[in-house]
Order: sequence, then C-alpha cells, then structure tokens
Amino acid sequence: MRVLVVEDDSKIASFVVRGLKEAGFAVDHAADGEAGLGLAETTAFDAAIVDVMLPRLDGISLIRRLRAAGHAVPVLILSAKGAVDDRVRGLQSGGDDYLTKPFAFSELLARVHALIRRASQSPEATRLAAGDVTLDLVTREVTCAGARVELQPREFALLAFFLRHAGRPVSKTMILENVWDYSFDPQTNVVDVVVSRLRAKIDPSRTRIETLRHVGYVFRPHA
Amino acid sequence: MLERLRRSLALRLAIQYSLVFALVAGSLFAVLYWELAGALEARDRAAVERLAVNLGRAYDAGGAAALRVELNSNAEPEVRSYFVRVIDPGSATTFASVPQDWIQTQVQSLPLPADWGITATRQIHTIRIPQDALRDYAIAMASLADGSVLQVGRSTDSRAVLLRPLRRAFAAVGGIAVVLSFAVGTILAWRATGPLRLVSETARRIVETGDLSARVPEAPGGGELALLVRQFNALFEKNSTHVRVLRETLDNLAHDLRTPLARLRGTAELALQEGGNPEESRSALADCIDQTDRLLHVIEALLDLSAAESGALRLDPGRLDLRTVVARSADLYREVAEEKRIDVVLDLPAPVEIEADAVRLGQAVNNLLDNALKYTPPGGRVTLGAGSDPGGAFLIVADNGPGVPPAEREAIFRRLYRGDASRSQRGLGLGLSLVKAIVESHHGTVAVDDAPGGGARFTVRLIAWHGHPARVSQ
Repeated sequence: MRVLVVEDDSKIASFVVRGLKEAGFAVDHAADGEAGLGLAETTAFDAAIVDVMLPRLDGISLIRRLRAAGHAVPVLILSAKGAVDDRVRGLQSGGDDYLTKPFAFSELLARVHALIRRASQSPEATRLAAGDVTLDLVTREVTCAGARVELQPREFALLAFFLRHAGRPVSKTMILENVWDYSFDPQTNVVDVVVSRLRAKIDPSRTRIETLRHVGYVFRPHA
Repeated sequence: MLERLRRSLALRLAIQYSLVFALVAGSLFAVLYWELAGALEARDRAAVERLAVNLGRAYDAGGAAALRVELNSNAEPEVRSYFVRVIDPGSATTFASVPQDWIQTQVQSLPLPADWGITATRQIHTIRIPQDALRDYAIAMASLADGSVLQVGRSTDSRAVLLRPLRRAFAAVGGIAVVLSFAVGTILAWRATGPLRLVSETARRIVETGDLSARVPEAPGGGELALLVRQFNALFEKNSTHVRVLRETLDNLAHDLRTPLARLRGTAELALQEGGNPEESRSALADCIDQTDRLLHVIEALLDLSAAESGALRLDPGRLDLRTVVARSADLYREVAEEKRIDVVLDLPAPVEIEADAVRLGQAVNNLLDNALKYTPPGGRVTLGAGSDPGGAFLIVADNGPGVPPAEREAIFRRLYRGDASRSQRGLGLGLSLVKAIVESHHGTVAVDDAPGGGARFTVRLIAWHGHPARVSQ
C-alpha cells in the first residue's frame, strides 16, 4: 500500500509519515502543491492525504486538477479550519473524506484504511457478513451465531457500518458521519448509547465490538 | 489653567455670541446713523433751497434791488445768518450779503459746477462743504434768468456734532450690552455645558481609578444633553456588565482548565515515580491523552462560541421547514432519551417556513434538547414544538425537570455559567450560550420561563420566511 502525503508543515508531515510507515504503508511526502501534483500524476498511490493550505498550489486546486486528469486515487483532505463550508468545498472538489486539524493519528489511520477499502471494493453485496454475524441489506435480517436478532433501524445501520469495516478501527466521528449523517460532532454520547444497545443484542460477552481508547471501536469477527 | 480656559467650549461660545451680538448692534447703529444724518441734512437742504427759489424769483423780477428788498422783508429771523451772493456769467460778484461769522476768502473759493449756466432752465444744486470740525456749509445754487448764479448758503452744525449724543448713547449702551451679553452668555453656556463636563469627569474617573460603577448624575428632562448623559450611563452600565461577565468567564475558564491540567500533571507525575512498568506507563499516557482531549474540547468550543458571538460565524442560510430541523434533532437523541426512559413528544402541527442555516440551527436545537434531556429526571417528558404566529416562527423545548429559577434565567445563556443545579452535570456551560449566539446571528431571540406543568420551557423566536431570501445576513 502506497500513500502520498502532501503537507507543508514539517512537524505534522513527519508525524503522519512516521505513523503511516509504522502502520505498514509505503509513504511519499511532498511539501508543496505542485510537487504533490507531480508525484500523484506519475506514481500509482492507493490513497493521498492532502492539506488544504499549501504553498504554490492549494489542496483544493490540486484535487481538481488530479480529477480533471482522470486520476481516481482516494483523497483525504486535511484542514486547519473546521468550518462547514470548507468541508463542503473540499468534498465538492473531488476529495473523498475530510479531517480537521488537530486530529488524532488513530483517526487519520482509520480513515485512510476506510478510504482504501472503499476504493478497492467491488460493488457492494446485499449481504454483509463477518465471522458469525450476517446482515441482509434488503430483507433487513440479522443473524448472530445462527440466531435471528431484531435490531432497531439505527442499530442496524451501525452494525452494517461495523461489518463493512470489520477488523479495522472506526472513530466515533466516522460513525456519526456515516450512521447519523452528521458532518460535525454534536457533542453527545449518542454513539456510546447505540453501541451499548447493539452490544446487548449481538455481543453480550463483549468480544465482538471492542472499545479502543482514544480511537473508537473495532469490530472483531468471531472465527 | 489659562490654556484650558482658552479651549473652554463655554467661553468660546460666549465670545462668539458676544461678537455676533456686537456685529448686529453695530450694523443697526450704522444704519440708524446714516438715516438720521441724511434726514438732518435734508432739512438744511430744504431751507436753503426754499430761500434760493424765493430770492431767485425776486431777482428775475426786479434785479438785485428786488433781491435785497425780498431779503430784508423776509420775516424769518435767521435769514440774516444766510449767505447770499449773485455771480454774473463773467464770474464777478454783483450782489453779496455775508453774515458776520462767514469768512470772505473761503466764500470766494466756493466752486461752481462745471456745466453751470449752459441751460436756460432754472437749476438748483445743493452742496455741502465742511467748514471746520464743528460746522458745515450747506449751499444751494440757482441759475438766474440773466445767466447769473444765485448762491444761498448757511452755516450749520456738522454731522459729527449733530450725531454726537447718539454716538455717545450708543457707545455707552452698546458697551454695556456687549459686556452684559458676554457675561450672561458665559453663564448660560457654562450651565448648558455642565452635563458635558460631568460626562468627561466621570469618564476620567473611570479611566483613572478603574471604578466601573461611576455614573454621571442624571438631570431631568429630555433635552439633548440629558439624553446624552442617559446614553453615556447606559454605555457605562453595559460596559461594566461586559467586564464583569468577562471576569466571571475568565474565572470559570481558569477553573475549567485547571482541573484537567492538574489531573494531567498528577497522572504523569505518578507514572514517572512508579517507573518501569510499561503497562502502567501506557495507561498513564492514555489518561494524559484523555485529559488533553478534554482541554482541547473546551478550547474548541470556546473558539466556536467566540466566532458565533462576534458575528464571524459564516452562515449558509436557506429556506427550510423548522419541523425538519426539530425532527432531525429528536431523531439524533432518540436512543439517549430512550435510555433515560424520557418521552420525547413532538408537537409539529403545520409547516413552519423559515430562512436559516440548517446545520447551525440544528446545532442550536440539539443543544436545547441535550440540555432538556440532561435535566429531566428518568421517566420524564420533553416536548418539542414549532409553529408560527403573527410575530414570526417559534420553537419550544419544554421539559418537566426542576426548571430554571427566575434569578438565573438570563445568566444561564452566559458562557461558562453553571447554576448550582448544574454543577454536578457533565458539560462546559457553553451549550446554551452557543444556542443564544446562533439564534441571535439569525436575528432571533431565545428565552426561558416555566413550562405549564413545571420545568423549564425554552422559546426560540425566528424570522418567518417571507418569500424573499437574504434576510439573514451572511
């Protein structure tokens, strides 16, 4: 897996590059927009992490040019601004996900994994399965260890999200964005509440849905 | 002191006032003077002209002899004081009657108009010649039938002498009036500018002593200066409130930051002392991250709130139904409410069209609902209502919790304010101030009172959609 990091702040760049390398990625780093564009056009990357504020060529323009040239590499936008319109602008320009500084590296890593998975997946099956948990998106049937489980709509959506990212950490913010469709953190413990309900139904022994401190959760399929 | 006096508004006003007064009085006097002088001179002129006409008629009828008879027979006693002379075309004097006090040589030099005697018709021409400082000559000249010129003159008080009493009176009265007007003007201006001095004195005192409670003594009435004083007091009041709130906020903030920082330090210190055990060190580091996250969260929430309060919040307003915002918020908190066995009742009978930023307004509604759920005891009920009335659109979040005491109803919207009841609750005391900031940036209002069955009832009022966009500023 090869990841491109376009970031002019050397501290953040080295922190991200080192973290990604430790997580097993091959990493290229560009310190300005034009160098980043040059690298992205000549090298096949599995994902790119692009800062919005860049010297010479800003991140948004970089992504526009990349998309205009037909490159489909999934892009995670980094920005110091948390404003909603910045996010909208970033995603409209062709970015795939958005993360606001300051961020936890675990959050960044979870999102990069999710991006790569999404990009490499074949069109989604109507049936999701991980270990002994299955979920049918059409009939809305859920089974756990062979037994039928009745889920509320929100629990169902949360489980579907976990199954799509089975084995990978997901953050609370990612869950809010994908299950509740909230683009900003509403500062509630609603994710914990629904996770604990889901646990009560499919994971009373607390071995499937693991809480990762400072990261979020990870769904670990039973063998 | 002298410099201050020179710059004093009251003194300058008084001086300007006196100058204008003197100018007007002076002009009045000048006009009066010229008019009066003209009238007096016209009397002399009429006298010499009348005599010139009579004598001229006598001369034309009977020559110099008849002239003398006419002159002597004239009953008017002052006729003898008139100077009478006839000059023939050859410039020789053919008749003269000169009063005692006239000096011959001067009379010889009395001039004749340049084109005199050319026309046959009788002409009368009167001139006035200064004799000395005190007296003038008024001389009428008439053409006679034989081409001679008859001169009738009279020595009269000069204009200066005639009008001396007037000038004296004016100088005395005018002088007194100017001095008086200056004095009265100074007093009036001093009194009128009194409130200004009070305002500036109070402002100086506040700046020098930092005593924010200083106020300008208010005078009754609705004049401009009374109004100014009241406005200044309102300004001082608002300022001192702001400063007080800011101070409280800082105190609260310091407290909010100190607690997690102290915990952070304690955790790190303990881990250092224990040393060695990697598992415990990891756990301590994780605790440290927890504390820093909390601190970061406080700071981010404060920055967000500052942006909203200072109007720097960028809004993306659009037409929307308030019911969808409310329903979305209720949906977000459904599980949280269920966990606490709180019944969330929606009272949304009809569409409520407003113009607002859906995300920001949603944030405000979320905070209100979050607040209501927090303070409602398990098994309670929260009602979310929206509707419109002639005053615009409204949103109601009511609970059956303990309610908000009247004394705290304004304070709860202040940032970092936490009432006694909420000290034990999680949260930063920023939620409601963010609600207020968001609602106010939409030109709306938010207030709290008692719900009909007890508990708190928050009412947000917003501008209804009127069919044209851009009522809400960017």
